[in-house]
Amino acid sequence: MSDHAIYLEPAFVLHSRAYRESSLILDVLTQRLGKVSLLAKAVKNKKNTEISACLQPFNPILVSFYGNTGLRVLSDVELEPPKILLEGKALYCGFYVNELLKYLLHTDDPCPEIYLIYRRFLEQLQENFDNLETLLRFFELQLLEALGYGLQLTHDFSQDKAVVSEKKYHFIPDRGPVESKQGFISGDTLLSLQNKVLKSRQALFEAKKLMRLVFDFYLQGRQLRSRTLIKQLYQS
Amino acid sequence: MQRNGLLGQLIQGLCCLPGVGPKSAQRMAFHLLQRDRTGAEQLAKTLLQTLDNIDYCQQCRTLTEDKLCSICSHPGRDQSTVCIVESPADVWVVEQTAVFNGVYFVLHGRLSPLDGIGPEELGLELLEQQLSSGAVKEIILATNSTVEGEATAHFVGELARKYQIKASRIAHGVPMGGELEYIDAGTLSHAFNGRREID
Ligand SMILES: [Zn+2]
Repeated sequence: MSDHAIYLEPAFVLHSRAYRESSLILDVLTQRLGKVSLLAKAVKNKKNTEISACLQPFNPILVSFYGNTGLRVLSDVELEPPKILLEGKALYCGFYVNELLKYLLHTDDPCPEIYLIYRRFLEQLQENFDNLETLLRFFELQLLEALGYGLQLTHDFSQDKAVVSEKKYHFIPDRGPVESKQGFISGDTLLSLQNKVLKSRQALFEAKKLMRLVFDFYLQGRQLRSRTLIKQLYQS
Repeated sequence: MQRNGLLGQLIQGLCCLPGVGPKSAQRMAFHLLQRDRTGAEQLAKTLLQTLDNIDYCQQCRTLTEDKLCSICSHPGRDQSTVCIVESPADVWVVEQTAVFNGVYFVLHGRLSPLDGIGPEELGLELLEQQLSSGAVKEIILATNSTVEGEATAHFVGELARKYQIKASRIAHGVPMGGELEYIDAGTLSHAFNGRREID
């Protein structure tokens, strides 16, 4: 046993994979410790269906575990009501966000804000079926901010000028907008993002392109399978 | 314990079985070699034969030694109702309840983007061919009640909708996280009868 025991830490399971016959290795987003890896021993069997139910992604849970860093051991888990229930497309958006967090967060790197942003996002996701895209875009913006990659949206650094609604821009992820006649995003969309209002279809479309560009940059070429899956779902 | 040579290989080979650790693998190996060499020979032959001959059923992808499994080729089964399950073991579970007289489609997994499992890995192209042929009138989604099972049910439900096929989801009498394997026959019968149509 260890000196470092954590009790009843608010958390979400991001991903779990089977380990040996009946155990799981979990990627867990905790409130105070950031993303941690937990070994959940002997939870996959008939007797422990309640525990494996708790350990489903998107459930707000309280986890207790011990161990220092690396792979720690889960000692207890309970649900922290109210439950969050995602269905249909919302479920797929949840997978997408989990995949982002899985790859962008470093293990054992505390970031309390991310837990809160994520929790709020899931709560909104289960209620706003019609606004999935807008919710995703604002989640992404907040996530970048929390990771220290906050976007600079209002200043054309190449010309040292403020972004203007009527003009078109290209975007460089770690620097910001550059005016260009062939740019994919309008000044209007950039300023709307800054003000956290996305209304028109065009603005949503451009914002999606922008986020894709930015996340591709930070994911360093890693392809997101949930993105592909969402596309396949819409095609079918 | 590290052993070299054939005996070590055998022990390690036995460790690939569920529930078998190095200790019991060692016991099994000694038992086969010391006490039951005929049994061992038979086991080895059978293993090789099954590996050579058992493959996926061409219609439902369950394990069978024929082109079509005994369910798909049974004249009494209703070919217009297809029950979608995650594993061949689930077919057995549902069969035990005797509430279902249609045929199956076995996914051998569930959609799980974070594990790199998409529609291609689950044979959904083959399923779509069957749905598009017009022979299927109803599908019953009996994937596990986990988030991945739900996501899979949603995806297949959308496929069914594309071909205007009725789709229903079994009503698990178990909490989220429940796997078909762990449900008793009574509960599962209820789940089948209480299935609800998805729109
Ligand atoms: Zn078959």
